[in-house]
Amino acid sequence: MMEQKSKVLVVEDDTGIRQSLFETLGALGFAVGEASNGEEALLRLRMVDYNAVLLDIAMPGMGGKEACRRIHRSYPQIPVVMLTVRDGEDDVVESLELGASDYVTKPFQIRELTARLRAVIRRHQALSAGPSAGPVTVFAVGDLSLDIAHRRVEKRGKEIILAPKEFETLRCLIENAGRPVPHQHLLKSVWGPHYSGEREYLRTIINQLRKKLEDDRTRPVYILTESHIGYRFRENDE
Amino acid sequence: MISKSIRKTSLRIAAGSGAAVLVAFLSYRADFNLSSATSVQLCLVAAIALRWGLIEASAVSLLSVVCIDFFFAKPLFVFFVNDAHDWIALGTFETVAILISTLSNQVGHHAREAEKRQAQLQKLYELSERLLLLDHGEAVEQRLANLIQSTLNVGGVALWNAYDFNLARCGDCNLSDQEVRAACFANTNEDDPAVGLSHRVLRLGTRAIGSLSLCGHTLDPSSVSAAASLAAIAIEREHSFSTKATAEAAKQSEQLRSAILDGLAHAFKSPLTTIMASSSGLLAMNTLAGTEKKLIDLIDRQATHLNDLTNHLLLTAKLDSGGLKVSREEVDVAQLIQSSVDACSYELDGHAIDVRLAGLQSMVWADRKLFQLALVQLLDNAVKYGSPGSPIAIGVQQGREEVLITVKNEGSFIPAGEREKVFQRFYRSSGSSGATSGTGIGLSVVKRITEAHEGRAWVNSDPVNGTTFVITLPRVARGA
Repeated sequence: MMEQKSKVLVVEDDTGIRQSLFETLGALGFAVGEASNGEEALLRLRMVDYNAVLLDIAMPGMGGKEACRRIHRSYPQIPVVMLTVRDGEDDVVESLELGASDYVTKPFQIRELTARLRAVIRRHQALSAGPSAGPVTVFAVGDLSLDIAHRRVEKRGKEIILAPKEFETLRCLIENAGRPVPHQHLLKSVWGPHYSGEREYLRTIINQLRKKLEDDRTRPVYILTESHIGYRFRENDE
Repeated sequence: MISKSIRKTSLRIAAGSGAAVLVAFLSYRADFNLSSATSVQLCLVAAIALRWGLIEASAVSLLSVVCIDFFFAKPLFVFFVNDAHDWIALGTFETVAILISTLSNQVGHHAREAEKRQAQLQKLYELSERLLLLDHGEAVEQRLANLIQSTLNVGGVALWNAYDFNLARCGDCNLSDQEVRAACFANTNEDDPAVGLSHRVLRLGTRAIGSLSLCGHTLDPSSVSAAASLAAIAIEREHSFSTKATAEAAKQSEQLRSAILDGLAHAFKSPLTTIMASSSGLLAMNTLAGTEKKLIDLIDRQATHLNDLTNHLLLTAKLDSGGLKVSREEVDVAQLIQSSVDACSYELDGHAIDVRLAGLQSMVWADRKLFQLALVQLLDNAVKYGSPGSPIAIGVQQGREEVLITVKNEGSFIPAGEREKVFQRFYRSSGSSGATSGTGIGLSVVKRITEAHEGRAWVNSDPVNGTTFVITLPRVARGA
C-alpha cells in the first residue's frame, strides 16, 4: 500500500525560497501547497486539509505572527512551524506563545527542516489519534520514566526525588515534549505571572534537574537548550 | 605724577591755611573766647581731614594752633603763651585735631577701597554673565580674550588654551608666546603692580588647562584670579561640549554602520536560504552522482560558509549596538573545543590539531553558540596564518577565577605595535593583507564575544615560536 504523503502548506513571500521549498519538499515526499501571505494561507487552509504549515514570520499583510494566531485558533490540530531569519528574537518566542509548534532559522539545511516537519506532524497525529481518556500521565523516554499523576520520576528503575518546583518545571517541559518552551512560559507556569523575567530561577532549577536526570549534565540528552528561546524536552523517539 | 600730587597737596594746605587764618580773624572780630574759637577751628580741621586727608589736616591744625595763640591766648597778638592752662588747651586741640584727621582719613580710605572693590565685582559679574552667553564654536580663546579686555577695561589680554594649544591676544600686550605659556608650565601666578601686569594659571581643580596674562591693568590680585577662574570654567565648558559632540557623532556613526551591516546581512539571508534549500535538497534527494554530486556539495558548503560570514556581520552589528543577548549556561570547555574542531574539520587544510587539556574538567559560564563561534574563529585564523602543514596547539589552563584557552600556530609573527590593532574590526596586519584572504572581522568578533562574557582576549607573538591567541572566561557566574 502506498503511504499517504504529508500535506504541507508553505507560506512565504520570497518567490525564490517558496519555489525551492516547493521543489525540494515535493521531491522528498511531501505534498506541497504554496501561499505568498497570511491571507492567502487562511484561504487555502479552508480548501485543503493540510498536515502542517511552514510559515514565514516576516511577511507583508497580516504578517506571520498574526497568521499563526489565526491558524492556531481556527485549526488547532494543524501544527505550525515558523521560519525566521533572526534566531533568539522576541518574535520567535511570541510565535511559540501564539501556538506555533516549532521554528527553523533561515538559511537551513533541508534535512533539518524535513526532520522538524515530520516530528511535529507525528506529534500532532499521535495526539489526535490517542485515547480520548485525557492527557498522557505516564511518559517514558530513554532511561527515564515519569508518572505525572503520582509525581514519580524514575531513572533506570530507581526513583529520583524532585523538589516541587523541579517537578513542576519538568512537567511543563514534558507536556510540551519535542517543542521549544520559552523561558517566560516556563516561569509563568511554574512560578506565576509576575516572575516571567526571573531567568536566574529557571537556570538554577534546570541545572538541578540536569544533575538529577542526565548522565552528564554538561552534555544533556533530555533537557535541551534552545539558545535565547528556552528549553526543549527530548521526544520519545528523537 | 608724584610732583602733581605734591602740588595738589600744597595747594590744599595753602587753601586750608587761608581758611584757618580767616576763621581765626572772624572769630576774633566776633569776640569769641578761647574755647569757642578752638571749637570753630576744630570743626575746620575735621572738615579738611574728611575732605582731603591727614597731611592737609595736620598742616592746617598746626597753623590753627598758631592763630589761636595769636588772637586768643594772652598776651594777645604775640606768639607767646603765659598761662600753662593755655598751653594745655592748645596741646589738646592739636592732639584732637590730629586724631580726628587720622580717623577720618582711615574712613575715607576704606570707603574708597570699598567703592573700588564694588566696581571690580561689578565688572567680574558682568564678565561671568557674558561668558555664560558665549556661543559654542571655533576659537573660544580669542572670543574669551576680547571679552575679558572689554569687560575689565584692561590694556591687553593674552590667553593660552592647553587643550588645543591655541594662543589668543587682544589689545596692547607685548608678551612673547613663551612668556604667556610659562605661567602654565611653571604653574605659578605672578603680579607686577608697578607696570600693571599679571600672569595666572588657568586651573580646574588641580589641573592646569592654560594661562592668562593681563597687561596694563589696575585690578587687584584677587580680581585677576577671579577672572582667571571664570576663563578656566569657560574653556572647560567649551572643551566638554566639543568632546561630547565628538562622542555623540562617533556613536551615531557607529549606530549607522551597525544598521547598515544588519540590513545587509538580512538582505543576504533570503537568497542564501534559496541556495541552501536547493543545494541541500538536491543532496537529500540522493539522485546525483559523480561530478554533479561533488559540485552540489561544493555549492552547499560554500553557501554555508557565506552564511557563517553573514552571521559574523550580524553578530558584530549586534555587539556594536549593544543588542546582543548572552544566554549563559554551564559549558564544558573540553567538549566545546572538540565540537569547534569538528566544525572546522573541513577547513583544516592539513594542519594537525593538538589539544592539551588541564587535568581537571574546566567548566565556564558561557553562551555555547557564541563561545563556539569564537573558538572556530581562532582556529580558522591559525589555519590561515600558520605555516603550511604545521600543527595547531589548543591549550586549556585553569586559574582561580578564570579559564585560559590558548590557540597557537607556528610560522606567523605579529609585531608588538599591531597586537592590539588585530582585534579592531576591518584591521588587517601589514603582513597579512594581500597574502591571505580575510575580512578583518573574525578577531574583532572573538574580542567582543570574550568581553561580553566578562573575559579578556590578547595575543602573544614572537618570530621563533609563532603566535598564540589567548582568551579567558570566568569560571563562575558574575551576574547573567
